[in-house]
Amino acid sequence: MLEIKNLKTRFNIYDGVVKALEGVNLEVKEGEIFGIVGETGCGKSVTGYSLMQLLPRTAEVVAGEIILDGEEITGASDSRMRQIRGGKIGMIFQDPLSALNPVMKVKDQISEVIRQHQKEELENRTEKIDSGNERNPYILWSLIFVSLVSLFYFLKLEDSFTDTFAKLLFVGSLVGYVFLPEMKSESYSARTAVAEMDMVVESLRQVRLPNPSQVANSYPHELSGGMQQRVMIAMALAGRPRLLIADEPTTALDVTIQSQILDLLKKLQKETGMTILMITHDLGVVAEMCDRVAVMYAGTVVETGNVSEIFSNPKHPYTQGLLSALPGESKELSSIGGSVPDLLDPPSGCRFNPRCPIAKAHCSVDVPLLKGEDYKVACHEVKL
Amino acid sequence: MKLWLYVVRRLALTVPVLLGVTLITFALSLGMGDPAAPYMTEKTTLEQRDLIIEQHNLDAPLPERYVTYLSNILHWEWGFSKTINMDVSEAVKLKFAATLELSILAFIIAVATAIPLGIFASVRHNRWQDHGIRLFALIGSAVPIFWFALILKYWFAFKYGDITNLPLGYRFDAILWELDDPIERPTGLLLVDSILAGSWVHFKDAFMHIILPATTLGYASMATTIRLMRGNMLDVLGQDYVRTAMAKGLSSTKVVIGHASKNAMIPTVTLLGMGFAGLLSGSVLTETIFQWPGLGLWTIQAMRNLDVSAILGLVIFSAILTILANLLVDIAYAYLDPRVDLGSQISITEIVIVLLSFVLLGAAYFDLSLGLVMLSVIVFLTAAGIAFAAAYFLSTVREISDLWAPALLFGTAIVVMSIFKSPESSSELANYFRFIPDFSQLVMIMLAIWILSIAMNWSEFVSSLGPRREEWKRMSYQFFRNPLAVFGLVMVTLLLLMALFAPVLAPPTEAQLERDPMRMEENFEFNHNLQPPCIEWWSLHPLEGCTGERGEENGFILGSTNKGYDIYYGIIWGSRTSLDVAVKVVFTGTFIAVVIGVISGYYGGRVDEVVMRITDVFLAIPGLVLALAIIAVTNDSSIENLMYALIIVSWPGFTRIIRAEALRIRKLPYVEAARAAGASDFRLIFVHVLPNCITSIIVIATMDMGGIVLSLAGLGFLGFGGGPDLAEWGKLVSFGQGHLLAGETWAFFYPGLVIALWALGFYLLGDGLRDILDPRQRD
Repeated sequence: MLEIKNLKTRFNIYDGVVKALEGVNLEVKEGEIFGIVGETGCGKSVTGYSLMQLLPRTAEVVAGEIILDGEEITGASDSRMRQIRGGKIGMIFQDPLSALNPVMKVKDQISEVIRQHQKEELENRTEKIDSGNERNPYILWSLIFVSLVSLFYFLKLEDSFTDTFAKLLFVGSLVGYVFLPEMKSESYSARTAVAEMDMVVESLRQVRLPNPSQVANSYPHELSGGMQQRVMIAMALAGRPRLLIADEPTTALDVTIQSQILDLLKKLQKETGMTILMITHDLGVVAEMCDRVAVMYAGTVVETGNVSEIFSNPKHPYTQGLLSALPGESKELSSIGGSVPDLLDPPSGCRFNPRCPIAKAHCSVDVPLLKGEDYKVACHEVKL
Repeated sequence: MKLWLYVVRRLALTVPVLLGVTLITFALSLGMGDPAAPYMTEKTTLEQRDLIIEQHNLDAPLPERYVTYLSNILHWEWGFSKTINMDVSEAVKLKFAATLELSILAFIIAVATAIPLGIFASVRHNRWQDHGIRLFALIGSAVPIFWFALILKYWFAFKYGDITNLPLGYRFDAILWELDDPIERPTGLLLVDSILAGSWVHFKDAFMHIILPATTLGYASMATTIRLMRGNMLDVLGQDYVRTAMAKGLSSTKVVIGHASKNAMIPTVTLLGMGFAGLLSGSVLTETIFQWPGLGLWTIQAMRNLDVSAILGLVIFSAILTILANLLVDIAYAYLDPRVDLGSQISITEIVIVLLSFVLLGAAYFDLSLGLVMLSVIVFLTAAGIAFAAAYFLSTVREISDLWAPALLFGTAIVVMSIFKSPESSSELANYFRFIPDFSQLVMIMLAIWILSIAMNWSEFVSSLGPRREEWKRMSYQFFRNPLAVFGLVMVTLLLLMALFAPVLAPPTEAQLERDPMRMEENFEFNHNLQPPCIEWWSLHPLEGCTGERGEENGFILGSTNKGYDIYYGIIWGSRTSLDVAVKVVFTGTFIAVVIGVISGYYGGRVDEVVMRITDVFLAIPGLVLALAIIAVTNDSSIENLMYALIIVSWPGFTRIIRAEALRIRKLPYVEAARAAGASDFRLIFVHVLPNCITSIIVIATMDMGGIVLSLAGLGFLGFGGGPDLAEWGKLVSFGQGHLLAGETWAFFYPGLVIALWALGFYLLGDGLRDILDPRQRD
């Protein structure tokens, strides 16, 4: 459903041009959980933001194609992008407290998404709500205000045009006041608000929040970290997107909460059949959650394939190093020599070559391409 | 805590602050010669004077006098104003509505335009719209309000008065309101009254009268609010929740209006209360120019007649207004920001302070002898608190470097005194400073210490040069990328060069050299017959018939004022006055503020509480009003006295900013880490906290170089700028004011322009420096 071809993103800063993404290739299939894993600064989050076109001002996508459901969206117009954001692609972020607006109630933040992307559903529900006998409070209050103001002039003025006008106003507002109880509340907005609240509560219930209507009426800082992240997820899902980008959704949370959130995401994926693009640095999360995974290094995808295959038999030397750096039962911990390259001035050829244990001379000249059918590796030295 | 409880608590807390204000006015009233003067009318005989002294306890010891003074204030006996032959309390009631109406409309104009403009500028960050709005805002804070008022008055009310139909001044058309068609005025606010009466004619008249003064007054606070709002918006737009809102697919309008602006409003609103104090300051100047019959105009008339009781009454009254405005703002803040914790700060100390002040007030009101007892209790508690704090502090001293705080305070005192030590100074205070070294000597000593410290760590210094050069290159790149900052730098350099080369640019005559070149030469030939400028501002070519080096023979380069002062000469030499005052006041004020602010912010707790309450008291009084009161009470408008007044007015604001900065830095993890590593307080403050405050100190000091000159010019404009012939810009403008209606605009235009350029230059420079010095703002 999502295909990224040769995506290149650059940051223009004072010191020069940071080549954050250098030809990223990905393919995400309908209904799977796809992981992107890599170290800090390898470009996994930038990939997510490039997809949503939410890059900071200093950054730009210079080349590549992003194809979502057969639609090329790299050059999409602003209004089209707005339909895609939240409507087709939902996104959840790392730190839920700072990602939620501190001065808006939860229900207002969620209903924004509903109003933007679920208009039809909202209208349908509004139609169904019985227009009861409630009086529209706005009309009532404005009538009371008008009658008081005109009463003031009525008592004060004598014989002039304004006086007549004031009398008319006063009588008119009295008539309105008397007849108001007879008018059924035709107010569409009042009923929409009810329908909206229903949908908000529903979406909060969907993410297993206890007492959803109370949560809806609270501010983000009044909730715990786990609840905040659930609210984030509910918000991302309120627009019924087919693809959910989860950018390190559990990094800022406690370990116990982490597994709850991951379980929740898994269950939601099964219920709705949506696709999840899981961006994380945590190989444990990938092993637990994902069907397929792409390993990124310094702005490129070095290896992609089924999770079980990559974990049991990694082909790329970087992935091998990464997995052997994990604590296990029977082995000693090892680390990858050298350090992450400076993206202002990345090494030529394969970006991993200065740290690679099996690098040959041509590795620092030719850029390796992703090879293979389902399981792909970008390395000159690996034979599939 | 419930909101209403919070409101009650805030209301209760205003009482001690008001008591502090009365303490200040009381102290000021002690500075006057005759203690009975405030209560005397023109008809008071000597016997009556004795009666007054007896009645008001004026020969009693100070504490008793204070309690009586408090009681008088509470009973609305604020003294007698000779200027308008009326009790001050009566006069305040009479004049209050006019000032309130003007301030409120100015406030509305300011906020209603500033917030949309600030939002728009932040959305168009670093594009031409942003630069335009920033420039508009900077000009607003840089133009002297009295000069702007004169320009508006000249163009809209005088020159094109036929088209605009705007009046030259006053509050209403007396013929309409008092003879033709008098209407009831229950509120005293004419706009409201005319609406209540339903009369369009009256409304229009009142509106036409108020629009120019309100615009003038509103522009300055509009400028500050725009800058605040823009800065806060830029901050908020970088927050994660804005990105979340974008990820929801909302349009950018919805994101900016719905998500960002409400968050950015919160810190903006907190500073609006301060802005109201600024409005009251500004209204003194605006009312003078538009003959607006409010508190400000009355103050100035009172000042000219040495009618001190009126001024002290005004100090108290404007403090009450400011405190109320701040109260409203705090409540609005609690309402706007759901995160604010309304109940976190209540403490036993607070309750004790509030209770004590209430008892003192009550006792004073009912003239109980308890009042005196309460005062002694308060004095005793304060003294005991100070002694206790000192003992506690000394008990914690283990090394000599732990004594840094008293050493710093002592050092500050020495430096401050040395700044004001000048051999010619006529001020009485200067006599006390004889034992202090000269400021120049002190600077030399400091330089020597600095050079010595570099020499002792030579190798370290050399090795730090490389990265420092990189840093400098980076900074200058950032700085020169910002055209406004470069403009500011050029402006400041030019003005400083002007001060430096004053004898070359405007050579004084021999007679002037003999007296004092700072004093302008009178030329009574041109007293009522002002000489027009030889150079028009749109073309730099001298007009025909303009000869002589300074154009003395047939005219003056920039024209003359009454008394025949040469405006060009005044402007050039006035730059020395401005530079002198600005440097001394800013240096001293910043120095005091850094010491007190850093100690207060670093230690927090009780020390902080006390310092903040003291600054609260000072900040409650509008700056210009307090400065005027100090000058009036001492009856001394020499330039030294102006400096003292400006320092007293400006230190609390500086202290607040630096304290907040120190408080912020103290809580940062790296300071905690250093503390955990066992660093002493001395090291923490001087190595970790202070160097990180330096950027904001430099920025504030640069900005205030402009702000102080504006205040100085304001005082000068009101007639308190040193001697009558001292070259001072504000005074030159006031000379020109009287000739406005003769169309002789140069007499006020050129000096005011220089003031504006000076302030603008320093503001732009400060803004540019903030951008480069604050590492968080880099991209």
